[in-house]
Amino acid sequence: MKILLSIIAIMILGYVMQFVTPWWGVALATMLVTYLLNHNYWVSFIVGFFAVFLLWGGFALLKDIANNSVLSAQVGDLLQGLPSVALVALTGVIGGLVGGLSGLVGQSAREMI
Amino acid sequence: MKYLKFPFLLALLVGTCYALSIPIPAGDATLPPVGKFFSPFTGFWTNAESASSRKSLVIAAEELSGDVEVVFDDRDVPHIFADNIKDAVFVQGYLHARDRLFQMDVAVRAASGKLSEILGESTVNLDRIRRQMGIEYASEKAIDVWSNYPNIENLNNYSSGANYFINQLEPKDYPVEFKLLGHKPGKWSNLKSSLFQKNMAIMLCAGHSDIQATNMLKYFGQETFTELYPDWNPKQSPIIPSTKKWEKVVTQLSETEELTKSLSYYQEPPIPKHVPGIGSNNWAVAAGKTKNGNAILANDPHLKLTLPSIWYEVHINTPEINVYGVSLPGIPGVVIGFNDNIAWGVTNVGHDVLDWYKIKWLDEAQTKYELDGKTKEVEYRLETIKVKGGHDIIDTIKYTHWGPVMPDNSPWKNYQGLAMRWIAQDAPDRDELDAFMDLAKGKDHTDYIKALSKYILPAQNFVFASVEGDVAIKVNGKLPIKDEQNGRFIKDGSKTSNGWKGFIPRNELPADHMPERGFVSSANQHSTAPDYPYYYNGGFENYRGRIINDLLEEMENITVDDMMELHQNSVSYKAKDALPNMLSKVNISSLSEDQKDILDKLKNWNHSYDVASHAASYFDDWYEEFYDLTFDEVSSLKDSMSVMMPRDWVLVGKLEENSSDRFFDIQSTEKIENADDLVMQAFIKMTQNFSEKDDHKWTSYNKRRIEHIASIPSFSVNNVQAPGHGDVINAYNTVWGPSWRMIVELDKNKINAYGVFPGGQSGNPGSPFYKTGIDNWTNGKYFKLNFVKGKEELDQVKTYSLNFKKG
Repeated sequence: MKILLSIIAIMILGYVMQFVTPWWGVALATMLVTYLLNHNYWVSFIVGFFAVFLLWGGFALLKDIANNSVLSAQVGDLLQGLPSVALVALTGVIGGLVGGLSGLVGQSAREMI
Repeated sequence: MKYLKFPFLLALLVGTCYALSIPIPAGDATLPPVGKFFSPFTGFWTNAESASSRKSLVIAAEELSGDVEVVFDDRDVPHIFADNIKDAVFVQGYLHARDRLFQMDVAVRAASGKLSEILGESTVNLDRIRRQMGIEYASEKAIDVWSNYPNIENLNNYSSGANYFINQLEPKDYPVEFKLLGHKPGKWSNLKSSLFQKNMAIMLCAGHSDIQATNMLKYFGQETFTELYPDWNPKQSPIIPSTKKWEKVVTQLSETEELTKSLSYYQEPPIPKHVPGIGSNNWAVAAGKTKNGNAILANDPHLKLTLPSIWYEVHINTPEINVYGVSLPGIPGVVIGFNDNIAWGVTNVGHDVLDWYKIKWLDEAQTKYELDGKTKEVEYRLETIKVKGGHDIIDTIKYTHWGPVMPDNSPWKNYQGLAMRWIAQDAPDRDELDAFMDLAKGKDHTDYIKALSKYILPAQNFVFASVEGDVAIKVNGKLPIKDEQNGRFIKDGSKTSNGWKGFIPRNELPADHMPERGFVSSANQHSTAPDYPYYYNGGFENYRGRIINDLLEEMENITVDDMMELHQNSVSYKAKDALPNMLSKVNISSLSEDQKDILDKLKNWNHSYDVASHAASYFDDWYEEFYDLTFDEVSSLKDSMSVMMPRDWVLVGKLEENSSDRFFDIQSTEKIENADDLVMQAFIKMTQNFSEKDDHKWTSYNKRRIEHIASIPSFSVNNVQAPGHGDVINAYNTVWGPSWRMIVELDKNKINAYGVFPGGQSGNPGSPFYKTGIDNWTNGKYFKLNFVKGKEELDQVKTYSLNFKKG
């Protein structure tokens, strides 16, 4: 339950943060949530990763569907011919990595204090 | 332990975020910062437009004097309904910026020599030559002239409109190219509009061959020079036919060119050259020649085909004007278009308006030069080129009486000491700003002539038709008066008498109104027959004009459909002239079966450059081989000097007239070859070339594409299956072609207009309107243009609207 709550909280906070911070605002959101909602290191990483993966990948997917993959086909072509789906997944993974690391930082901050 | 984990992990996170925030070097290019570029909130995903991205909005702007409504139709063409022109151009500036910001930025950077600031080392030489040409200096002069002219307000408002849009942009809204290049859009300005115009001048009126011609004259001597590079093509079908009577004779022969002998051979400066085979067509047929009794006007300007397209369709409606056509993102107004009464179109004028003068230096440091026996000092202008990821480069440009001289530290030392006299460096007349607005307001032929008198450059053949059923054409712009042969070769720059002698009076420019033949046309050919009283030289087309005039002469009861068909006509007069002679010289007995097959296809060819034609590929290759074998005398000089290659019609003429012309001899062989030998050798070579290819069809041999403006491959379109060739009406060749096709039937009751360009209204590769017109354009189809008098007539096609409010 706490895991699900964490993921949802990161996604909402991460979404809000992007209006006021640069792209790395999701890192702040993830750190804050994993700091407040205590997990262990593994869970914190996974929570951070999945939350941001879903947020970034999800938004990318929505935009890609609404756009009929017009742009992703061309950008994918620029990146060694990546198909649109892979580009969406890659977006999620890049976000997820930042989220996962942020989860670890949040967890370690909690432990330290 | 727990005290170490936090700083370690934090450092890891910060390090990762940092790594994802910086551009990644990848060979010559740099990749954008990964985090920023992929984030669906800031990166390229935000450029992925959805159906709802373009929606009705209310926009408040204090610069406006009243409300403006912009209705967009199903191709996203804006129909601007405003109370006055000033408000309309504000909105036009806004829309150009909204849809074409990157294109505007690049065009201005290219013109002013500021590409390296965003692209790095690779464009430094390009930038230096632009600085050398004094583009920005010339634009500054233009702004000085314009600034105290009342109608500058139109330009001011255009810039404010563009800036209104630019100012409200956040980095996430930047066009995707800015994100890729890690660069941000700057504010628009009147200076940038002027630079944009200069960019058109570089494209269209910077053609020059003085340096090459001087080399050729010196090397071959006068007689051979005249043989290889004659002034007039006897088969030429000029824009103003030779039946026209001229009154005045003013020019005299330029003084004998002793200078040529004393000069060393030059290597051409890398100033952009005119690409052979590109140009444009326009024509208009008078009411008497059409089925419906309405004049019909057609235009297809041939430029480099780019994505986004160079053109932006727009309809402007105010109580004063109701004009529809294509505009250039960077300047206000409509460049090619029509209103309720008249239509106009343009093709480029090939007159030489860029000449070179040899400076006679008086000191070692080259700061003083001689002019009419007096000592003159050069003026300096410092040009600083910023280079992304590198050091600034500072060039000192010296200005003389004639214009700028190449700097000493240039990579093109070989042409040091030559000053450039180019019309685009002159300060303009201030009412130049009104030319297109006046055309938009024009009601008849008198208004058209008045509007044209304000237009300066690049000189264009303006075709005209009106609802009265009349048609006209005028070779129009500021064109210098030159002594006979002046401007063909490098001139002695120590005498002002070698300069231009003013400009041809507007009413003496070549023009025609309602000629007896019932039509007017131009296709970049000679403006006139040789009897025109003013001397001019330049680059002129030799085939398209002939076929257009021949076909229009024959046609009667013309319809819009006939005009569309004519736009698609891909028949080559060069092939018609040359092929029978070439075929007659092939020795069939020595050919293999495959070669005979090729020969048969050529014999049965209709001279049309159709998509699937094999013969078109064979002829083109065969002709090229034959040309190269013939003019080995010229091309072999390329290593030591810049050369001028003879025009195609010169070779075709030699082939018709004299098989044993000395140029048919190949220099490197003992044997004395004639045309028969060369045609046969070229044929064998051609068949060998094709034996290695799988696909012989024309569009596979001549690969055709529409290239993204920054050459980003995935934003370009490759393998476009459209017919055409540089020598034919449908002048599509590799990346050059008809950039806008327009046909207007001038019916008094309702203007009927059709148009298409190979691109779309939006410059965003992520927009559904990025490539709107490409399929229709490829297939020779058109869109019916939604030209209306009131916005309620647009209800059927309306998709959304922008409502600009004052305040």
